Amino acid sequence: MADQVPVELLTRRLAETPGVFLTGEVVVAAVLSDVLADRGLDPLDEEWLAALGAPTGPAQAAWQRLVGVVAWLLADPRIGGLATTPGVLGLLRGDLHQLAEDVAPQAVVTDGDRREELARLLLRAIGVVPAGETAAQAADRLATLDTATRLRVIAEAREAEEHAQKVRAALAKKRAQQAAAKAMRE
Amino acid sequence: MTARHRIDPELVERWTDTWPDALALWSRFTRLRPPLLCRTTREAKREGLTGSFAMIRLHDQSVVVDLQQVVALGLAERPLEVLGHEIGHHILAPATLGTSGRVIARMRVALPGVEQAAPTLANMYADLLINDRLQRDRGLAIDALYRAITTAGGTAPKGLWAMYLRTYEILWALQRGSLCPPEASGEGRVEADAQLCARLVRSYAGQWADGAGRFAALCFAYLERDAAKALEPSTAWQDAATPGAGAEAPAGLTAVDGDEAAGAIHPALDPALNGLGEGGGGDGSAEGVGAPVPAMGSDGGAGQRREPFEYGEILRALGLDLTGHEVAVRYYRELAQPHLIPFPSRDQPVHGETLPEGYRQWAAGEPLEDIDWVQSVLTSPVVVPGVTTVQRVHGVDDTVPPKPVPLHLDLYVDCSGSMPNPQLRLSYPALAGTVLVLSALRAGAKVQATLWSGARQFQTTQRFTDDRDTILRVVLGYLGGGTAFPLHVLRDTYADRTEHDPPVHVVVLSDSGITTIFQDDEHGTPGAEVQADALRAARGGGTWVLELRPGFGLPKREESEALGWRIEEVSDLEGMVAFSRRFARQTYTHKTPPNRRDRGLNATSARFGTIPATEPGCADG
Repeated sequence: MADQVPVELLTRRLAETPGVFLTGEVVVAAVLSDVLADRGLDPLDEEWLAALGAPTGPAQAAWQRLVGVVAWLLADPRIGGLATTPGVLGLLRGDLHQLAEDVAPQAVVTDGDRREELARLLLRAIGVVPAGETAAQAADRLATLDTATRLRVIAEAREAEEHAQKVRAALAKKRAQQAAAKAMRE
Repeated sequence: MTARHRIDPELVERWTDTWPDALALWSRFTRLRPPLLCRTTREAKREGLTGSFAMIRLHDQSVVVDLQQVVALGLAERPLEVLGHEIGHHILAPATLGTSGRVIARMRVALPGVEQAAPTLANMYADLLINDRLQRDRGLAIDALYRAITTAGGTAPKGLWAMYLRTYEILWALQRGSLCPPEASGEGRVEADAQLCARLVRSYAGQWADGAGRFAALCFAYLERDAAKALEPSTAWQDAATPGAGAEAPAGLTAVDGDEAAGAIHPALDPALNGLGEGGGGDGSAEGVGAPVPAMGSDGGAGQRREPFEYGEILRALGLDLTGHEVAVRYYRELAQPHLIPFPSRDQPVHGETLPEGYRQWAAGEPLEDIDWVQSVLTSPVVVPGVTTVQRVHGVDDTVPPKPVPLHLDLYVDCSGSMPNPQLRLSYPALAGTVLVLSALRAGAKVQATLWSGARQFQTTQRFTDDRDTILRVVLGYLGGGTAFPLHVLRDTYADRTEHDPPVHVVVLSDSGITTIFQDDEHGTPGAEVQADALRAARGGGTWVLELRPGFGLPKREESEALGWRIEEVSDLEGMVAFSRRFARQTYTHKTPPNRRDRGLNATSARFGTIPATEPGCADG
């Protein structure tokens, strides 16, 4: 299929993201508009331009940095050439907000799993199945990488483990006392 | 699993031919002896391979493969994967027996009550690291091996094994269900634990031993719930669970690693792995990135020592077949090594070389062979026996400096019920005894050791010997009965000793039970008299090394010191080190105490050495 691109193409580009995209020095609205225009896609409307203006808090600042990183991905014609404006904006409006809440922006550049997660989120948003995978495989892999789900199950595990740890510590202490007493008797 | 498949010579040849390629997976400089490819399971058993289809031995750096099992599992066409994996155990993890021991020690802390699972878990953890590298970096189909193992197991993976297989799926981006059925990975905390495990493997790939405690903590809940059953499927490829079989005990395992206890935490509780930040989820803190950092207080265990029984359990978990006694010998030898001291010696005149000094007349009646015929003929061509015959006169070079001869050591070790068993608990008097024995042997001295408890309860080397293991076996033994110093051994040792025998330093390791040395012997001779006679004949002085309760007033202390005993109290490591220092210093600078002269002892008997005193810690390794 002509529409298929390997995930590695996106993850590699993410790893090469210029540092300036993560520092907040980029005017994200201008960059994204230019990228969409270069690809011959519909430009951003006023509402989006306003949303990508000066951030009102750290959460919005983090989200805008991720938007900048997405713009960097789309600037590659092999990726941007497959995109549609509604698909891109759907990602920015939905999953990217969730990702910005859960991970630090630099993680999508430095952490292998987070790179792959953002790459797959973008491909899903623009309706592209990664090369060499079926739609079901791609969905499964994205489900495995999904930060929100992962953090939820790990938080549950942590809660259970905190309790278990206390019980085990008490047991271990008791066993150590018994062993010491036995050694002394012997 | 029964394996009765006939092995074709072509299969053996194919596996043999793959060996260089398998070595090259790790480095083109890797060199290992060719693998032992056993054609029958019986042959593999003779090599010590049972249960698994392959294994490694660290002591001879070998790889053993049971080809019948390989064929039975359907892995005959996977030589590169199998051999590459086994080589990985030699190159990456555990690589050395010392690292393997450290990993097991870290895991044991995280497995209270199920410590016996540590070797298998260490094997599984090392497999994760090796396999991840081979599958991701080298493109090998390691997942095919696990499919074969799971199929051969016959039952659906669950619990720990399901979590383990799901970890591989996550690490290698495999479709869910390709190794572990979705219903198994969806059970309980399997998915969360597999996510954490995958993160652990990647985060600790470069410092994998440090992550061992976390991996064990991750597996603990499954072991606690399913007991030994949790490990069952993994035994099909248990190739490095006893890597130390036949090897020597590695050095360094008596010490507790700095972050051994702090590292035994579940990855869900480790902010570096759980991605929840210090404050947990839901507080808006974004997931951090970067390498794991040591936990707070991670050096809390630095400098601490394991108890001997813990040390023994780690060695046995490595596959070393050792008795409690042998473990104790290795344990105290390792602990004593940094504290070895210069052992006392005594100057002994040395006969110099014989030098010709001239001639004198040979008289009739002296041996004919003494005549120097050349000189006699030169003196007078006409030889008249007894008149013109001469013989050579020789002298001895008396400018040769005297040679220091080490004092022998006569060691009496109290192992009555009041003393700690040195095989179970670290005993500082036993450690002091080991330091003295090793120091004495290093100096070339011989040692007699006597282990004593109640009346007629004693073991002894029976003579002065330089057989280290025989001596330490006595010193580190334990009888645990009543308390009665073996006066008859002390008496008999010196009964026939003469001035020509080497001098001996007598050392008694005990506690308050030392007072029994003043009791009468079986002939009614007072203990004080036996001691005085023995010390006089020993000619090297004596020392008591005692572990006394705080505030315990030792009876007859002055009388003991008047007899010539030096009394040292040792109840902890600092005391032991201080004793070693004092022993060395006093040994080399000590002049004969007046009270010993008063008792008519040889005035030189306390002037032990001539070598300048040095600080202890100069172990010769």
